[in-house]
Amino acid sequence: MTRFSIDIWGEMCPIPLIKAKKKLSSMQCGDILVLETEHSCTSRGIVVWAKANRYIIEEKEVANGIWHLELTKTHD
Amino acid sequence: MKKTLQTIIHGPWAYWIGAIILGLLNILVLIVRRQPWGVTWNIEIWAEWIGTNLGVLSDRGFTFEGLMAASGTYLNLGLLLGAFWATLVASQVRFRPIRDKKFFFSALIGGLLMGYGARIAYGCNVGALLNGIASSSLTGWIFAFAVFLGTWLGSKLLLKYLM
Repeated sequence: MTRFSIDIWGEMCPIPLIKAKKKLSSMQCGDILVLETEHSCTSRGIVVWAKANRYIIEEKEVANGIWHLELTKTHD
Repeated sequence: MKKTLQTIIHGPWAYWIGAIILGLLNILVLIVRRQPWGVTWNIEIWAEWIGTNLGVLSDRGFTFEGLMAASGTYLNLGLLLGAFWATLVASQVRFRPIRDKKFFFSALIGGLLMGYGARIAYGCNVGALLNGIASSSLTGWIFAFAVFLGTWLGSKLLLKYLM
């Protein structure tokens, strides 16, 4: 169970999602991907995508307009 | 109950709720205005008025009073102010600097192409696509086909140059 993170700060959809997908495919099951964004639609898009793909996703607004996401890779 | 109120103010709303509200408001615009909602036509007449005053365009008779009396002016202002207000209420307002020069230029070029395309097509996503299809105009369907084609091409360019 390793924690990875990628820098998506200031990037607009769909770039963060494409980066997250790419990173995810190189990770093992049980690994966690940590993401932080200041765009509500980026956060929303990743949460919706993760739920549709049955990954575990935790979203937290850590400050006004800043979202912290933790995505667990549950399956290949 | 508290959680529901929190979601209403702070979001996120489900996409289908937003879609229904947008649809109802769009009908309201059509009833009150007797003309479907459109964004770019009003931007064009403002641009023509500015161009005329700068002396780069020939006068087509747009006056400041006329523009201030146009319903489109208030629809567009309402769109901007409403989006800002919603962000403010949700306390998500934040100055977001541009991460990279390339995003600045891609947004600028994209905006110019979208604006130009919307005007030569006599409408944008809202005026030509949504309301075009809603009023069974063939334009809407042709526009939709072109949008898919353009989006496909845009995605290819995005993956190649902006990733």
